[in-house]
Amino acid sequence: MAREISDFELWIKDVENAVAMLSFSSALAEISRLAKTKFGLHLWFVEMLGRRWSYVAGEMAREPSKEVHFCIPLGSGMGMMATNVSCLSKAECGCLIDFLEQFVARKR
Amino acid sequence: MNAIKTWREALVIKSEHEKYLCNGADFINDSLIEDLLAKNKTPDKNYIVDILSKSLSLKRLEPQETAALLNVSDNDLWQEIFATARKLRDKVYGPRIVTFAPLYCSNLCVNSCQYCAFRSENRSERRRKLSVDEVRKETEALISIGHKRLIVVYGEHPETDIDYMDETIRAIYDTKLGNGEIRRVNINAAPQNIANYKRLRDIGIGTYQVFQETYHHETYKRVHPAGLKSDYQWRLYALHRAQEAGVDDVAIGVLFGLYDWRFEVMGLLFHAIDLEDKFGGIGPHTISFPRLEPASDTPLSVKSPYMVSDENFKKVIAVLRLSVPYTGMIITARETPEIRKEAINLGCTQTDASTKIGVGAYSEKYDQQEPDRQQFLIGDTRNLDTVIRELAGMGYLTSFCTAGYRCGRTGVSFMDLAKSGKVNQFCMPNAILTFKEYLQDYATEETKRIGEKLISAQLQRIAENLRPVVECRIKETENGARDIRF
Repeated sequence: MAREISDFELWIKDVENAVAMLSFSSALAEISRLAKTKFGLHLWFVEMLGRRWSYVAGEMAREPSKEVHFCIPLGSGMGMMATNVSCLSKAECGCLIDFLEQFVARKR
Repeated sequence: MNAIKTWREALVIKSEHEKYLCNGADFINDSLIEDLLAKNKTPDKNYIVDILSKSLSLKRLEPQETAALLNVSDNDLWQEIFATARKLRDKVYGPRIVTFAPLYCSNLCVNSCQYCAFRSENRSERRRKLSVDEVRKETEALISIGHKRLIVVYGEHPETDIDYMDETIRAIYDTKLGNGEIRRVNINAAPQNIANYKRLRDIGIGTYQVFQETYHHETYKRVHPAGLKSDYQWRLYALHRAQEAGVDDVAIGVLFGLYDWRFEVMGLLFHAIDLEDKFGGIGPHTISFPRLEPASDTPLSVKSPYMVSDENFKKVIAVLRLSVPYTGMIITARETPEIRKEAINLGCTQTDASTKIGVGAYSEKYDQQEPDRQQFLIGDTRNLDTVIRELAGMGYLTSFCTAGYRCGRTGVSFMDLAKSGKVNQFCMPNAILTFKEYLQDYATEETKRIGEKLISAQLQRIAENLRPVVECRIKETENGARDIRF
């Protein structure tokens, strides 16, 4: 059965609470861990330095994906990379990115 | 002289490396190294077999184990060592070799390295520093050959300071020609302070290389009598400072021929160990081992008592391969084609081609080597297409891959993959795609023919579940897509 977007938004709220007291990179690592546990999503965070997207935190895919990498700038020099995003709907992706953009702007 | 003094005083911040010292001593203990080599003089065969087995499980060797390998005298046992190095190479890296080109931006230098044609007192050297426009022209010339990765080389001089490096690196990255561009800029330059390394990091460089040249303290002092480079510890801790600044892809090297080759292999290992220990397991991305070559008006380059024979050079490569199983190893066009082939089989993973090391030599298209504008003479002047074809004939696919550092596979995340032996799962598909790009855009008909056969063969080594995806992306490349990466 397809998830309701409100379920996903509740999950985002839980994640926000779970990482509230953590340092920036620990929070990113925890967000990634929670995304993998809940949805099987491989999500990792990079610092965007010219051509170099330098690893910061998260569960990087340890083997190539059949899907193209999902690469999204999050602002403040940070980016997010993900594989197997097909486990999320378009609306859920949008919701996740909105949350991450705000999180990065606040904490970085 | 005042300008040099001012630049030097601004550059060198001793506290940035002195904090790593232990009672004033650095991590290279000459007596310890000599002791280890002496104590492991006649290693037992079973001990060597155990060491080889450890290497094959991708564990870094301990210094006494490397010392034991270096002291093997039995020829049959050496053949076993060579065979294990080949096996390890295939296991971790597969039949692929990454290619790049060096780009020398200047031969201005304040140092007095006794083995180098660029040393400041060498009057026979024609000095030159490329303007930013000239760097762009050199880059276009390299792109037109098919290169995607460069190692950009700078002398140590205030005129080629961090501002010059910043400007020229950006110019290289900004240069495009048709389907081509440089996608990774690695740097071989003088040690920097942390603030300068942060600037380089922010530009988005690939790897920063600083070769210690020799780890033997006394020899170092003798061959570097003057200039900034005479400071052994400032140089030794260059890559510690780089890592502190967030440049987490660093590279080490030795100029073999300055001192005893066994000592230097041990020095490289201790350097790798110290970096790993201090920086959460992040050791060197690559190791280089150039051999001393003739250089213009440079007597030491032809009469050192420590010149390394071809046979001993093979031992250097094999032992390094086994000692740090997950670290890239670079063999350059300094060496002859025959030696390069052997080096690649024994464990080298990166090489250059179409190499010209004269300042301005690519765009000025000179065919002969010119000793008075080169740091040394090279052994292999063949062009990229010829080298690719030869490698293909050996079963090696030439990779122009730059995916890793653009996908977050950097520093600790790269090291984790490399140490687990999984990096090739990404590297081989990316190698195939970049090789396909080369065949489409730059290869001669003969190279295309051999190359396509090689791609078909290598596809069979890709995991079955991934193969259709790789085939699909090859098709996209055939239809004009570029820079697709895993």
